[in-house]
Amino acid sequence: MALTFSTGMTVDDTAQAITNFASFAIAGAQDRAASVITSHGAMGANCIGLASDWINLSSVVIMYDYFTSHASVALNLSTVGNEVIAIWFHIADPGLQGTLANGGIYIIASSSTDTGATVPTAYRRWYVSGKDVFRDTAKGPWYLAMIDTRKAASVADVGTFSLTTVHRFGIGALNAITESVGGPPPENLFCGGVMHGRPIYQVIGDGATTATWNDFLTHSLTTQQNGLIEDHSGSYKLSCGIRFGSSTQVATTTFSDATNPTFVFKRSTYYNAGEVDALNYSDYYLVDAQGAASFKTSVTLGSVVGSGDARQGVKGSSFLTGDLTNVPFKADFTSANLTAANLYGTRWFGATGGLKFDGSTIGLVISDTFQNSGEVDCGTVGNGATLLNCTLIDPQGGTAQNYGLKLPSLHNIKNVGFITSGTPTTQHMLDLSTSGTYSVTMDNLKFYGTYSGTVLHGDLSSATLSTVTGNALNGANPNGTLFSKTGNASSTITINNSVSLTITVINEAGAAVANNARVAVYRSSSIADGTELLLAFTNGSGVATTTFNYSVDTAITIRVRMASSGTTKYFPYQATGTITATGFSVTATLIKDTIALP
Amino acid sequence: MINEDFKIDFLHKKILHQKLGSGTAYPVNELYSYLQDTFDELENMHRDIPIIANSTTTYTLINGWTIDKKAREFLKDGTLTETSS
Repeated sequence: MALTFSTGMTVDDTAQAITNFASFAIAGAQDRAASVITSHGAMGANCIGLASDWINLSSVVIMYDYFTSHASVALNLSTVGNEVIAIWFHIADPGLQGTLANGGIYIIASSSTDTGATVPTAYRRWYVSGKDVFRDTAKGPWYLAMIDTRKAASVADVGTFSLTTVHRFGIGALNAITESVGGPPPENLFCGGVMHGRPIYQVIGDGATTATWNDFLTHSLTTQQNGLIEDHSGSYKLSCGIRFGSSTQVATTTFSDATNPTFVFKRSTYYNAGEVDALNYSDYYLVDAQGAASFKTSVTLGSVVGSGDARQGVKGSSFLTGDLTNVPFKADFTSANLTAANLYGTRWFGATGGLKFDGSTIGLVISDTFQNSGEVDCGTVGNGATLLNCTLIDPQGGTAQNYGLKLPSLHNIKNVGFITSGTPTTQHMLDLSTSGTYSVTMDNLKFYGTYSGTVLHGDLSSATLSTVTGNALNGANPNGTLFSKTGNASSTITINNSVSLTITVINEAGAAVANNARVAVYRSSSIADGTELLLAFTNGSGVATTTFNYSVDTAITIRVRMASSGTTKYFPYQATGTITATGFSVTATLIKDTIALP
Repeated sequence: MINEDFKIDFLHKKILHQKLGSGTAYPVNELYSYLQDTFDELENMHRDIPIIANSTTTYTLINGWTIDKKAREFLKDGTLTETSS
């Protein structure tokens, strides 16, 4: 038994032999027909090469004949799961090619029944490169061009093209200059392999082997050389999603890795009245896990240190978008057939499609960072996944509200920091979507940054009236005035955030000044109006204390006086301080007044 | 009794002498002690302290407090100055 992989992409041909490949010019001429080029391959030792003529505006194509190679069955690119074409190509002298807008390099698909060197009568082109655009590559000169064929063509179709009956597809190049040199031109367009499908890289277990990132990398970079995962000097670019396990697996899948790699979801572009996205990322740029009812899946990213609520996750990998504006991705660990979804110290940047977890016994999300990502939803099974010691920064994506974290009435969420930089300009850190009258615990949920306008601590999003009491604990600092009610304007939220305000009074010898010292605490901004936060005599231990419903840091003035006849007299004491989310505590040392009359 | 001969005008932050007082002159220290005793009552905790002692015989009215000229005539055994602060 061994691990197996599915990429979601069918490798139609690795271009090791000329069989099923042909070439032609749809404008100008080719100098020589396509042939096998040895010792220069993308998915193997060889590739198919084509020499364009020196004639300006020659547009030449290397075409793969799917229809012939599949027993006269056409390819239906409209079938769900078939939509993406991926072609390894190399252009020897990109400076000779046309620009992106002129179709310097293009993917072409034809639905007419012609074969071989015959120019098809019905075809579509998507311009994927040109001499004026940079196409970075991690595999020598090779670049994996991708197009989701649901995308509109770059130029008007020739003939009546049909995505449902594709016979051939391939790569074309437009020569944009006329060379004056004599002699036959060298091959300048190379095809290193053709694939189609929906790119989701999936590891499926054998019931015994623990899969790691290295297994993914080896399969993509070495075994199949499919270009879906690229090694860019230690970070990895993904042109695919990542999936752990399968819903149809016949053995358990276990994935565990704490090597902490960085994965970047790559942007692929093409030309359509400008450079636009070539892929429908939302359909396949994801990180998720699946399992079967009898053969479940366990996923552990990173490792955990500490115990209890002090647990911290480390080395859980980074998943980043390559373009926050244009390349969304998402995560989903809600399958019922998981035995573990432990994400320890994982960094998510730009997961604007949101992140879903579930199950208190299997979902452990510890020390993760969610930056510019969509809503984190911990689910409801067992009150949802455990979310502990995590940080959310500038939530972005999903809805226009840009929710950060769904906070249901019952949950396993604590110790979460919410940080805003102010961008995007609409942010709702918490999404209270439950309706009705209920209380919700906000255990050490701390908000950092400036909140005002549409950058808010949260939102009551249920259309049904909600009457919410938020019970803040352990230093949480939610502010009820910083919650919007987009679901129902009549909904309300009240924050109970009772913190202690404690003044301990001692004398110069360190002994408690018990019972008779007068203690008062006022907001510094309003001492004169006499509205005190605390006004009391010290108790038998020299302590005066009360509670305070915290909402924002509050500047205070503390006064302690004891100058009544018949007791030891002290000089008046006054100090300032700030009540924070953890409350306020101070020890006031009184100095004996030896001047006053007894 | 000093509390019967002197009056504290909290509104205008001023120490006054009762017109029908006993006519007794009090040591400044006694006024100091009386004021401190008064201002440590819970209902006065929000008020600024009016006086500080620089020594057993010199005192300063602070926080904008002043003393009526007539009242000064009934103080002895020490000096009492005023500041604007």
